[in-house]
Parts: sequence; C-alpha cells; structure tokens
Amino acid sequence: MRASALFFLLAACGTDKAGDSGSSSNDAVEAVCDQPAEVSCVDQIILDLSLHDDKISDADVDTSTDGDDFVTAVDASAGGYQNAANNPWVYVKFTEDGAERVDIDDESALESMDWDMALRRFIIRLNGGSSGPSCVGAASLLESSYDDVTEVPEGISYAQDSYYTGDCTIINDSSGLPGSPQVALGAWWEYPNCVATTGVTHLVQLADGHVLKLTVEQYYGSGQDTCNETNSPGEDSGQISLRWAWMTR
Amino acid sequence: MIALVLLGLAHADRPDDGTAQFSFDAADVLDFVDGPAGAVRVHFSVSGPNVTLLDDGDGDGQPDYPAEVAATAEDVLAFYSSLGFLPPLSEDDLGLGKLGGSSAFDFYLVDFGGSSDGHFSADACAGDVCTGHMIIENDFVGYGYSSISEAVTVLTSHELFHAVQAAYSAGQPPWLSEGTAVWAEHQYDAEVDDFFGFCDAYLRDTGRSIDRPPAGTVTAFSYGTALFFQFLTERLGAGVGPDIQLAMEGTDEDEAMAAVVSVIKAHGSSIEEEWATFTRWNLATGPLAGEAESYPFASRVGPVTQEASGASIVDDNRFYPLAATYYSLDHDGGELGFESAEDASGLVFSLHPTGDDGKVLDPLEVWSPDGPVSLRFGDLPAARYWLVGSFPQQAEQSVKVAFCLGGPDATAACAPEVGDSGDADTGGAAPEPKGCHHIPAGHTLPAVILAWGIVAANSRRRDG
Repeated sequence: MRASALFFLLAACGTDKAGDSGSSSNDAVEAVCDQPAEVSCVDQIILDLSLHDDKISDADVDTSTDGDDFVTAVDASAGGYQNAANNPWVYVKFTEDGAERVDIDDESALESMDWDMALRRFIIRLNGGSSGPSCVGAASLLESSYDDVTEVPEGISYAQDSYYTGDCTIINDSSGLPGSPQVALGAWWEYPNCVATTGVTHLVQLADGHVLKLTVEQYYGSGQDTCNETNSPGEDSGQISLRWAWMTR
Repeated sequence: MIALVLLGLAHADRPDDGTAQFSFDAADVLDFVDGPAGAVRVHFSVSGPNVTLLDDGDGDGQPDYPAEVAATAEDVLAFYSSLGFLPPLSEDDLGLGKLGGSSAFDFYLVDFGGSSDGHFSADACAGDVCTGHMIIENDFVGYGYSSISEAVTVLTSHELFHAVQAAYSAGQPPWLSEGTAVWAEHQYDAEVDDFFGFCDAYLRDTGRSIDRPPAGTVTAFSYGTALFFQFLTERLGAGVGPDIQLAMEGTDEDEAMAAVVSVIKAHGSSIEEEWATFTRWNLATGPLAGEAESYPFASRVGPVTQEASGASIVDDNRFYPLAATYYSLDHDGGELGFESAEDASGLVFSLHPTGDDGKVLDPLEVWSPDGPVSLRFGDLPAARYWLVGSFPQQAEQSVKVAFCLGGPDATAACAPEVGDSGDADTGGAAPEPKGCHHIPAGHTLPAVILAWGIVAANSRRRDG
C-alpha cells in the first residue's frame, strides 16, 4: 500500500536532482550513479568547511536496533565548538546491517563514493553535489511523522547538497549561524539559542538507489528536551542520534 | 566587530535606552565620568544589576575603573591620531545631537555575563562610514585578564580602533577589521599579551589563505592576521597602517585584499616579495627564533605548524594563495634534492638549515618554479632542514603539487617516469629542470652557500 501521509518536499536552493523514484520495497531498485563526479568548488569547500587531508576521524559511530529501526549514535562533537575547525568530519556509510564509520580523510572524501553522510557538529552533509562525488540525495517530509512514512511516495525528488553558487560563493542556510551551509538535510534542526531538533523525517536515497527514512533524535548527549522546550542548550553537544530504517531493502 | 552598515541616519539603541542587546536595567542607578580632555564620557551603574567596580583608591570622588577607562580611551585616541589615523566620527558629524548628554565619545559599562568583553556599536552611518559608541564589561569578574588595567588597555585600544575604521569604511571583512584592530593594540602597547596570543592562532593555521578565515563566527584566525599587518609595518614603515585604512574607503569586502596589495605596491614593494618574506619570518619564531631575519618579538610567538616531518618528505599539497606550508626534514647528511614533476608555477619555496641549537637560519636556497623542477643542493651536512612553500599572490584557485625532498632515493619517487615526458623533444627523458635559482645537480656545498649568501643579501631589507 502506498503511503497516504501528506508530504512536502523541502528542496534545496539550486537543487541538483539526484533521481526520481516512486519505488516501494517490492520495486526493482536502479542505481542513481555508479561513477564519481567531479566536485566543483573544491578549493572553497576545503577552506569554508575546514577540511583536512592529514586527519581521519576516530569518533564513535555505534548502531543498535530498536524494533524495525536502526539507531545510530555518532560522536560529531569534533573536539567542541571552538576546536571543530581543527578536526575532521565523521564519515558514515549505511549498510544492510546498520551504519558504520568510514575511515577516510576529508580531502580524499571529495573523490570517494565510499561514504554516504558526513557529520561535524550540527552540519550533516550527504555525498553528492557540493559535498561529494556521489549522488546521495534527500527529501524532507515536513508533514509526515517518522512512523507514518511506510513507503516512498510516488514521484518524489531528492535534492543533493547544493550550497555553492556558480562562482563558488557559499550559500548559508537561514539559521543565522554563520558558516552553516544550506545542506539538503538542514531541516533536522533549528536554532532558538540552542540546536533544537525538529523531528522532520527525511528520505535519503543512496547511490545504489536504495532509500532509507531518517530522523535526527538528538544533538545533545543530555538535555535535548530542555533545548526543544526552553531554548536552553543541553549538555554534551554534537552527540547526534539518528533513527533510520530501510524503505527499499 | 563592526557589522552594521545603515544607509539612513536613524540611530541605533544605546544601553541606557534599555532596548539594546546589552543594556542597563531599569533598576540600575546611572552616573558618568568624563575623561581629562573631555573627549570621552563613561557611563556606569553605581547600583543595580550592572553595577561597576566602585573602588575609589585615589579618593578623587570618582570610581577608579570608569575613570581609568576614560583616561585610557583618551590616550588611545590621541595615540591613533599621532599615527596618522582619522579620529572616529562624532555624533555631530552625522547630525545626531548630543547622544549620551554630550558630544564626547560614549562608553557604557554593562554586564556581558561572560558572553563578550566589549564591542563597538554603530549609532548611524552615512554611506559606509559610521559613528557609534562603545560597550565594555562592567567589572571583568570571571574574565581571564591579569588585571583591570590590562583589560582596559586591550579593550579600549582594540574597540576604539573599530571606531577609527568606521571613519574610513565600516564594511571591512573580519580578517582585516579584527586583524588590524589587534595590530593597533600592539602599536599602543607592545607588551600586551593579547596580540601575541592571536599571532599564535594565525601561525597554527598558515596553510589557509589569510583572507579566507574559517567559516563561522569570527575566529582567532581573523584576529591573528594582525601578524601580517605587523610584518608590513616592520618592512614598509608605520605609514602602512593608515594607508590600508585609506585604501578601504569605498572598497567592497571582497576587494579588501586587492586594496592591501595596492598599498604594498605604493610603498615600493610587491605582494609576491612581501608574502614570501612573511612566510620565512614566520618560520623563525618560537624555539626556532634567534638567527634568521624575523620579528623583534619572534621568540614570543609561534612556532608554525608543520605539515609533515621526517627523514624525507613526500607530499601532495594544495598551496593556497597567500598561505604557507612548512615541513621539517631530518637529513642524515649527503646529497639533498627537491623534485616535482608537476607544474609548480607561481609557488615559492625556500630551504632553511638549522644551527647546532636548532634555531633556523636564513634560507640556503629560494626558488620559484616555472614548471617541473629538479633541484640538487649538493652534499649537505646532517641537520634538520626546513622547507617553506607558499603561493605568494592573489589567485582564484590553489596550486596542488606533489613533490619530494630528501636524498636520491626520496627524490626519485617524484621524478618523471621514463616515457612520461611532458616534452616530446626530450624523447622520454627527464625534463630539463626549471627554476629561478636552480642549482644544477652535482654542485657542491660551497657553491650552494654562495647562492645562499646572494639570496640572503637580497632579502635583507627592513625599513624603520
């Protein structure tokens, strides 16, 4: 049965279409891409996002199961807010058995399809468009709860990260926080004086065409509810918890 | 930080309006003290949430802290005037009336609660020049300053320079506005630790273009660019500071570096020469300071962060415009060479020996490739050597180059493969080496030292 929940796509500005699909778990899945594309604005992304070629993150990425869902905890703290620029991003790949860390340095990641998602502090990039050579894209279902999303809506489009203009000027999101690029997965948070989770559900389409649903449950190791309800920052920031499940495997 | 540029003349809120981001509370009882020259007025609370330090050690009937702020601020303004800077625009200049009760420059001492220690806030602007007021911390309780006097010196000299900048252009990018404000601190008080601390922040991240600080809130890197402006002052004279501000008039943020480049040219030099020299001065800092040409305070800052180290260096580095990358090589003695089969045009490298005490010496060789490069420095004694690589010009893109530094085995890894010639005339043999100061293979140490002496003599130019 097709999902009946209403959905609304939050498409990134200057959207690069990663692929259209209306696949369900019973449909054949076609790869979106199988060869890496050249990332534009490499010089700029290295400086703007403080990418490193001599450091590989050893941050914890732990996946457990909760019913039909995977829950992946990613230590995206990167040494704390003040030190984040000096530390590498954490790279993650989604597999049939859960999400796992990919040990790769930031600059090599710009030429690699081996990862799907990169995290540092509150920024989550997907491997495609401005962020990487693959074609991972996302659609944000602003009016559907995570549990209500049981199938991939017909005709849905996936937006890749697209946060550079044609002349490689960075496009920031609307958070008001400087240096926060307008990534395809930006709808998971807002900033009312702390990083509050929105509970938005995203569909993420990987390069092989498979789709997963995903929501970010927490950014703070403790005190996420306090942030969401009172706008006061929680403790242990950058401890991201992802709840996700395959839609097409 | 200056961020507000208004086209109109509607003036911004002030702390005693109770509506500014950092304001006095309705429960505060306010007073003020004027500086000795009447050029500065300091507003403070004698009772209430923002009460300031009320000690009156000299018994003059005024709290010492606000009085010190007023006196120091007037001294700072007089000092900047003596350097040739314009004074901050006054309220009268923009027809705002006597904000704060007089035409004096107003300071407000409010409680930042640890979130900041002070800032210049624009009242109104005409075009891209602005007048404004200063807000600084009311008591500095819980801050890291060693004394109130140190805090007053740092805050007044730094933030008042933002007011000076606003008389030229309030639209300066953070790397320049903050860097020159920290530079100004150092001009006013050469012993202030704030300057040295921020210089260290720059020296930890020299691989980044100086005009491309990390994205995000204004970082220590932007403040640390003060070192470059101090370098220019040492090399080109004290007039470079006011000239840079003049060059900012009518200049967009993204043209700020071009304006700095034009000032360097007007002082008889070039960005290529100054930047390459800057990168070498920066090497001779911290424990490496003492022998090679560098800053008078070289031992108090640095050292630079090295990209790689070892008995040989093999790297594939992205050299950004107006940045620098450092490598250390522990050479066992014998032939030493540098090899790159790639086009390294535009880059400048220098090789520096170290003395017995580990201090870096002036460059043994400086070279500017105009294509693939194959250098042999001859037999060199066992020691630590430093390699500096930079791209000393404004450019849109970085230059990514693979290279090798070390003995014959190490350099062979970077030599063009037979049959991989970029020059059909060579028939597949290694291309003819290129470089401004190329030393043919087989040259002996005395010849290298001679070349070193020539290079060093050419680079020793320091204006008062």
